[in-house]
Amino acid sequence: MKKKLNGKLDILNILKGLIIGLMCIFLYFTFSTPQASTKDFTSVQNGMLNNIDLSTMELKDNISIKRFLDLEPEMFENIIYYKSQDALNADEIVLVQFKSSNDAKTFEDKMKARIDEQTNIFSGYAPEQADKLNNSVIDIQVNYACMIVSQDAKTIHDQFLRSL
Amino acid sequence: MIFNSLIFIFFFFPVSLILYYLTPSTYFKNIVLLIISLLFYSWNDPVTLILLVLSILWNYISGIQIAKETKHRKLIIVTSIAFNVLILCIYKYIDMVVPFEIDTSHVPIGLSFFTFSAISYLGDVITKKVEPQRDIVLFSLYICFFGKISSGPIVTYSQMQSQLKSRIMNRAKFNAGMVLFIKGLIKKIIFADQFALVFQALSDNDTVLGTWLYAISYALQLYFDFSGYSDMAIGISKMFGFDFDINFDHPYMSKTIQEFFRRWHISLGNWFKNYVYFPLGGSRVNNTLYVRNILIVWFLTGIWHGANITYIIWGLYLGLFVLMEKFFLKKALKKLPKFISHIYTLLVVLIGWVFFFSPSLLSAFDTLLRMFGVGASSFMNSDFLFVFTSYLVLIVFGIFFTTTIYDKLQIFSYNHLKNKGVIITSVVYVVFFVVCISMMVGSTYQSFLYSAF
Repeated sequence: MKKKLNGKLDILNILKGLIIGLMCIFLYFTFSTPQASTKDFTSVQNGMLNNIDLSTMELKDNISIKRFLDLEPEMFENIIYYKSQDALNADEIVLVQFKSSNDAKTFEDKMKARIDEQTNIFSGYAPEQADKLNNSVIDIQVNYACMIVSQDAKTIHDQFLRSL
Repeated sequence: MIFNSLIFIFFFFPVSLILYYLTPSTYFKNIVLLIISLLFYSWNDPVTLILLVLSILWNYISGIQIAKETKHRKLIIVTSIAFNVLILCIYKYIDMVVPFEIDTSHVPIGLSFFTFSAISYLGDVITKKVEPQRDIVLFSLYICFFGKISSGPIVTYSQMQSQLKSRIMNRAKFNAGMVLFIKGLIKKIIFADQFALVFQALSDNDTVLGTWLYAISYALQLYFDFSGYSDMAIGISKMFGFDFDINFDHPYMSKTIQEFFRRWHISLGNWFKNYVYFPLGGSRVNNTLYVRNILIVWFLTGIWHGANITYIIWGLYLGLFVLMEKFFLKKALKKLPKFISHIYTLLVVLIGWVFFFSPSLLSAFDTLLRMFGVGASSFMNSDFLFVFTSYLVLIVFGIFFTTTIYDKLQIFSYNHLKNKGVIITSVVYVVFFVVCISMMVGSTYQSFLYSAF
C-alpha cells in the first residue's frame, strides 16, 4: 500500500517537473518574442484616439502620406495620418498596420526623418512646437506602429498600447 | 472578449446559455461550461491558454499531493504556492528587476484573479477546510469559469465547491441574474464610460475646482466600472446557476476607512484577510506585530494592482489610516456626526485615488497640491464650467447611484406596487439596456479598468 502511494506521488512529482519545464519554455518564448496584436485596425485606431480632440486635425489622404511622410501607403496593411490644419502647428498622428514586420525599420527611419525635418523647421520660431517634437513618440509593436506629435502624446501612446 | 461587447452579448453569451441548458445532467453541463470558458479565455489570444492549462494542472496535482500525508508535505506546500506567486510576479513585476528591456505588454487576462483563486484553493486544502478536488473537470471549471476569470470576483474554492457538483437553476435565479447583468452594463456604459470622458476632459485643467472634479470623476468612473463589471460577472454566474457573494456594497456610503474596505472589492479584501492577514496572526498579536500585519497586507494590496510606486504608496497610505482609526481615531469617529465621518472617509479615499491614477508620485503630489490651491492657475475657469455644466446630470445621478437609495426604491416598488412595480422596473431595465446597446454601437471601445490588474 505504501509502495503504491509512493509510486503515485513519484508520478505526480514527475508531472509537476514536466509542468515546470513546459512553463519555462512557454515563458522564454513569451518574453523573448515580441507578440503581434490580434486586434483589428479599427479597434486599435478607435482605442488609440479615444477621447482625443481631433477637431483641429485633418485625416490626410495617400497623396499627403507620400508627400509629408515619404511613405508608400501600399506597403502597409492599413495606415492613417492625421495632421494639424494649422500650418504653424506640428501636431501629427500616424498609425500603421504592417503587412510584413520587415517594413518596421523603414517606417521607423522615415518617421525619425520626419521628426528631424519638422524640428529644424519649428525650432527657429516656435519653441513650443519644437518641444512637442522633442517629446514625440515613435513606437513599433510588431505588427502595429505609431508616430505621435502632440501635447497628448503620452495619453495617445498609452491608449495605443492598451488598444493592442 | 469582454462582457460589454456586442459579440459577447448577442452571440457568445446566448449561444453559451442555449448549449448549457440543452445539455442534460450537471456533469455534462460542467463539461460544456468548461469548454465555453476555455474558448472565452482564448478568444483574443489562444497562446495564453497554455499558461492557464499549465496553472490548472499544477494546482490540481498540488492539491492532491498536499492532502496526502508525506514527509515532504511542507516542501510541497511551499513550492506549490511559490510556483503561482512566481508566475504572477514574472508577468507583473519582471521589468522592475531586469536590467534589459522586456516585452511585458501581454499580461494574460485574468492572471491575478485565477492565480489568487488557485492559491486560495491550496490554502483551503492545506488547512483541511476542503478535500482536494480529484475531478479535473470540476477543478478546471473552478479556476477558469468564464463568469469570473477576467476580473473576478475572487471566489474561494469552499464557496464554489458544492455548486460545482449541483446547483439550483430556476427561472427566478435566471431572471435575477439577467437583471444584475443589465444593471452592471448600465453602470459600465452609461456611468463609467461617461465619467471617463469627464476625467479625460479635465486632464489638463489646472484650476482648483477642475482638479477636484478630475479626481471625483475618476473615483466615480472606477466605482461604476469595477462594480458594474462585478455585477455583470455575478449576474452571468447566476444564469448558469452559481451564487457568488457581492463584490461591492455601496462603498462610498462608508463612515470609516475600515468600513470602506469591507464594502470595496470585497473578494480581494477577504482573500488578503484569510490568506495573508490571519496566517500572520491577524489582530491576535501584540501591537507591534499587528502594525506589521496591517502594513504587509496593505503593501501587498497596493503592489497587487501593479508595479508602480504609486500603487504601493496608495496601499500604505490606506494602511496607515486603518491603523490610525484603530489606535487614535476610533472613539472620535464614533462621537462625530455621521455626515462628518462620511466626509472624512470620502476625502481620505479620494486622496488615495489620486495616487492610484497618477502615473508618478510627482504627478500625484502635483494634483493634490492643486486641489488645495497650490500651483493652481485659478479657482475655476471656463473649461471647468463647460465640463461641469455639460455633465451635471451625469454627476448628480452618478452620486445618487452610489447610494442605497435606488435599491431601496426598487424594493419599495416590488413590495408596495407588487406586479405593477415589477413591470415598471422591467420596462426601465429594458429601456436602459437598449440605450446601452445603442451607445455601444455608436461609441468607441472602452476596456474595463480592472482588467489591467
